[in-house]
Amino acid sequence: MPKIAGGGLRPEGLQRICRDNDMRILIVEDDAKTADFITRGLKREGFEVTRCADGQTGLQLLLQQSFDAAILDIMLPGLDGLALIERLRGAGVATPVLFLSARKSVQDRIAGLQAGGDDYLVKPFSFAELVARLRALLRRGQRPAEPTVLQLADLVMDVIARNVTRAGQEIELQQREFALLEYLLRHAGRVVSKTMILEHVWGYDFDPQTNVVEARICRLRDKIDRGFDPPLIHTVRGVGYVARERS
Amino acid sequence: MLRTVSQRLTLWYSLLFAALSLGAFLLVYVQLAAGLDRQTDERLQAKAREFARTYRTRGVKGLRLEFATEANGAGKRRVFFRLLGPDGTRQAASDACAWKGLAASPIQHPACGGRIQTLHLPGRRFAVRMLCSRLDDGSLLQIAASIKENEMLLEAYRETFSTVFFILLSCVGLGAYFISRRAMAGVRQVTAAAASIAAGHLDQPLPPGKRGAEIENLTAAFNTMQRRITALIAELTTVIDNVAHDLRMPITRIRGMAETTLSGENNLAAFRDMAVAVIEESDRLVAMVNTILELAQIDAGTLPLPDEAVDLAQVVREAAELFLPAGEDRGIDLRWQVPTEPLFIRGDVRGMQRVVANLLDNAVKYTPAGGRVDLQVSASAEEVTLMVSDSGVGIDEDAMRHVFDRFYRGDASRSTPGSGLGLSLAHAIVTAHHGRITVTSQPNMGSRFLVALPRITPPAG
Repeated sequence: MPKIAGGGLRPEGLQRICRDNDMRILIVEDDAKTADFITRGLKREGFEVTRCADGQTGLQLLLQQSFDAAILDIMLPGLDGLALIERLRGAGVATPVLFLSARKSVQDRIAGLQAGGDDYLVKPFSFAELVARLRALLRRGQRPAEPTVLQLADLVMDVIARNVTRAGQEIELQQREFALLEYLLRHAGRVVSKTMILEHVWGYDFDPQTNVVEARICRLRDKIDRGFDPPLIHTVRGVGYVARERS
Repeated sequence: MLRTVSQRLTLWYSLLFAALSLGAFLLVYVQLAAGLDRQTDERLQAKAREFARTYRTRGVKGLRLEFATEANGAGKRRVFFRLLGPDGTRQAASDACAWKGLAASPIQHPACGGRIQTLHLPGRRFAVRMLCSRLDDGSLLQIAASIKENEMLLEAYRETFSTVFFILLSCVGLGAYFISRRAMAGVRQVTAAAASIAAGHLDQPLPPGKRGAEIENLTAAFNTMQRRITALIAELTTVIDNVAHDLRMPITRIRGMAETTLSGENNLAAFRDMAVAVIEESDRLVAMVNTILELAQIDAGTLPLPDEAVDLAQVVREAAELFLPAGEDRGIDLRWQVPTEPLFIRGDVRGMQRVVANLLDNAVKYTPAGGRVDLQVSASAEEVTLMVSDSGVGIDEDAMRHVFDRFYRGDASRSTPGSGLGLSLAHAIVTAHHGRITVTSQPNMGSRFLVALPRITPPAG
């Protein structure tokens, strides 16, 4: 588990938020197999998951019970996701909502967010990204400020002073390497996908074929992990990358 | 009502003919009437001069005699003469029984010296023409003559004209209708042919003929359109074939890997490998599908490009920096020369990232280890130019023509992973940004891609 220095948060507090043990999530998705893997994945991440397959039931569940967040498919039988959220917000329920949609266009995204959604994810998505976005929704309003000093084992990053040390030794990083490491450390312990890295560090919403991220991670690993123990930057094959102490 | 062009043309022709012939008729009629009046008037005036001379030389008595003689000679119904004294009393007159209206009406024209008028008298079918002339002693000489012949002539003229007019109008109407029907025959043929094409005979062009230049031009334009549609359909079919092929490949791999893993030993590592490979292949599939959709949207013009000022220099610098480590890993010397000043173009920053990344990806992919890739950005007042050159395998002349075609992949690139869509997408995006993208290449020496985009002045602030 990462230790966070600064920002006034004790590691225990962070852990409670991160574990999400008592977080209740509603999944409204009519494709059973998609709902299956999301449910399985979220349960493994420690969420309590309720699922249903149509908009009408979803709306009733959201109105009757209390959920910490909902994952809504936009195309649903009966009441679709957009209509659902309009009624939900109309009834004064502010449960954070993450939309899932098979449509990628900017207008669809805008429509989803304007209807009252809090985030929008296009199918197919990487599960790591779904979890990251869900956590971001759950965190919203809970954490007063992002910590400015990030620490993982003996690696310390000062975001304001823009310096990085490992075991007290200063490490020179290029601007993007710094941004990449910061992104990994802010998600320490959790896997981030290649597309998430491209989006957040480079502002690319596509994958430029050539293994650009892999090569960049290699460079970063050379600087952070070479000659130190334990290794902190790990590749999770097929899924992404993670900063953590254990391999 | 007038639905067809033939009907409308017929109406317009007929109206035009009617207006012109009526105009011509009126002109002739007015001139003829005026000419006839002039003749009558000359006779009346000659008579008036004669009577005035008689009055001067032989007095009222002589005039009376002459009135009677003249009236008898010309016919009492046809002429009428009268002399009124200065006080309006009748001094002399010819037989007035056929001129009741004139005789009864106190026609006093004190000021009408020499004036001539046309009068319609009661009891007479035809009008009369009357001259009033003031004599030297103040007496008023009135001479009236029937203009029956003139009126009858004019009436005959009117009747003839109207008969001829209606006959001609019918002929013109019919003629116009048949001529315009004939002129439109070509259009009807083209329509019929188009309908037959719409019914499914897409490959049959309209046969050329001798139906006049306009119709032949229509036929030619129609055939051009039809060829274009046929070509587009063929292209679409090819694209769909290619899509199916390119989608089938990763699916084949996914399926094969899953099957061999399942039928192999129950080895966790093997299953992990398979899962990883499945994700990678799926990502590739998704990227391809997204690119195809994006291309389709750009082609259809339905993808609204954000209209913002984009610093192309910065986009290129960032892309180069992103690709640098990957290039190094492949033993490629990636260098860039980008001005430090911002160089703005108008459009979509993600689109530009895509263009630069695709060109870089292409350059890195086809450049062997030890080669180099150069990026250069320059600007004139009107344009920002990006040059991406590599020392790679190059493109042969045949492939050069197709390098921006959808799914085209040169023989050299068949074995390299990729969708064959990267350069197409770059081309589509640059074109949508009103720019140009060109390529020059020498096989085994390398390729050089040039992108030129209209430069804009940086936004204020």
